[in-house]
Amino acid sequence: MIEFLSSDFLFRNAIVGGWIVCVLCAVLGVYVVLRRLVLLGMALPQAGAAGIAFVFFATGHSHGDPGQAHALALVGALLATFSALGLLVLAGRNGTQPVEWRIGGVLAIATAATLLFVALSPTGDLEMTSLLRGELLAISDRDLLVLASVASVIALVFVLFRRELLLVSFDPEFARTIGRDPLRYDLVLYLLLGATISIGVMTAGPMVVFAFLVLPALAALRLGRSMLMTFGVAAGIATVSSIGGFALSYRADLPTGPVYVLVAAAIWLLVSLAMRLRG
Amino acid sequence: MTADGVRMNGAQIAIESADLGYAGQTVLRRVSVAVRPGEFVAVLGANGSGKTTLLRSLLGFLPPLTGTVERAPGARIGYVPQRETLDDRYPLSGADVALFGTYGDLPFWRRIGAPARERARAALAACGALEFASRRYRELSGGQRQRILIARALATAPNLLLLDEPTAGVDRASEAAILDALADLRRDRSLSIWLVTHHEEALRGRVDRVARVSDGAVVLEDRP
Repeated sequence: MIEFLSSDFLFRNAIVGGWIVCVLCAVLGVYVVLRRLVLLGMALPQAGAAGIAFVFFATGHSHGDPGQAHALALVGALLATFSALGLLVLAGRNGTQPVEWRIGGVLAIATAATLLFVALSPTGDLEMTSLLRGELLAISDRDLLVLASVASVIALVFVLFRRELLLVSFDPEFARTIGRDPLRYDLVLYLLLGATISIGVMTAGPMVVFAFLVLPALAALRLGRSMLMTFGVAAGIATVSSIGGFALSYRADLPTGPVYVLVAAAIWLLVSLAMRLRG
Repeated sequence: MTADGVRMNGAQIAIESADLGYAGQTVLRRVSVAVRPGEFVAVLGANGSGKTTLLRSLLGFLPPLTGTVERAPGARIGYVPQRETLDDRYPLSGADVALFGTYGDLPFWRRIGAPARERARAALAACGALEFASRRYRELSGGQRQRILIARALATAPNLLLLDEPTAGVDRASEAAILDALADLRRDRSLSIWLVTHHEEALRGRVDRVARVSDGAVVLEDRP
């Protein structure tokens, strides 16, 4: 295991980057599950992937400067994720139709657009296909620094607003009566989700991001006796799944993303079974 | 909403000649009611009559379609929603839920200190909820949850409690206990209480006035 974290190890940055993304997704995923936003957790990563695919298609994805390509792709993921989020929020205001309908529409469009841009991209298809399959890519020290910085800001905002996020999620009307505007703090949560999903899709692909927004939270909510414990258990499951998953995939020469997801799913199933047996 | 001490004539909240409802749908017409300090009022009416519309207007959630809804500057509302609206999958204890009542006075960067915890504890004690407050909210009975939600409202340090069907779905003994606890709170803390309910019989001897909501109107009756 130690060899994976050695500075000489080719995929060290990808492992650390993947772990950061998995933990962030797992912690925010507690709210995704509790607030019944699971479908949104599926649609937004796909929108981010569509944004990356569009950038690869539009720029020709120059292999000469991977740093610039990654930066452009991150911009594409951010723009697409927040555009989809903005559209859903704006269309949802005073809307009479169930929000699932609109999210389903965004998911269908984003999936088709991703595949179309990949097919049209002459040089970016290999990297993009790897990303869609959940292959952790070798990322540079600079990319890792950017990822860690963004993740630190997300974590800081989450900690600062932890009480308000919980309050408006649990009982928005009561929150209003004590002067906490639910819309404002919903916006904070959506910004955190959008940023996490954008950098997550860039690093680990939409499948891993969606899975870690859901699976660790499902298990943690079975075990947690408090919100703090639930966040901690979700982060722990994400850590075991990503580090353990990488070791498994490395030894068995399998794509990393699916193994990450299956380890997290196995933990969830084991926890569910144990809780059921316990009654 | 604006405060107008002269027109409000000492009321904590005053609704004057207001049509209440939602965009394009007037539910209550020409409503004029005043929430007076220290008064216990029951809001009665059939399902769909507009009781919740009246309550939401008092809370300031629904701006009046016509007329005015004014709140006095010192009015602090403690709100107790219908408990079915809350999701019990959140891993929260009863004490956690009661502690929410102190958040309004805490800036987001401050930690919850001992004074806030003591305020929540005192609110739980006042509602007879201390003994089960450490249990998970989802594991509590309907009556126990209701006491926790009343404690949460009390922890906001209110001078007016607005309760939306606090006794719905609880047995008669729990209903009587909740109403007695509210009567005690009113006496001990000089609280005004407006309570939406279906159960008129259980209120006998406990309330000062009844606001009867029917046919799009609100009629206030004194109950000596």
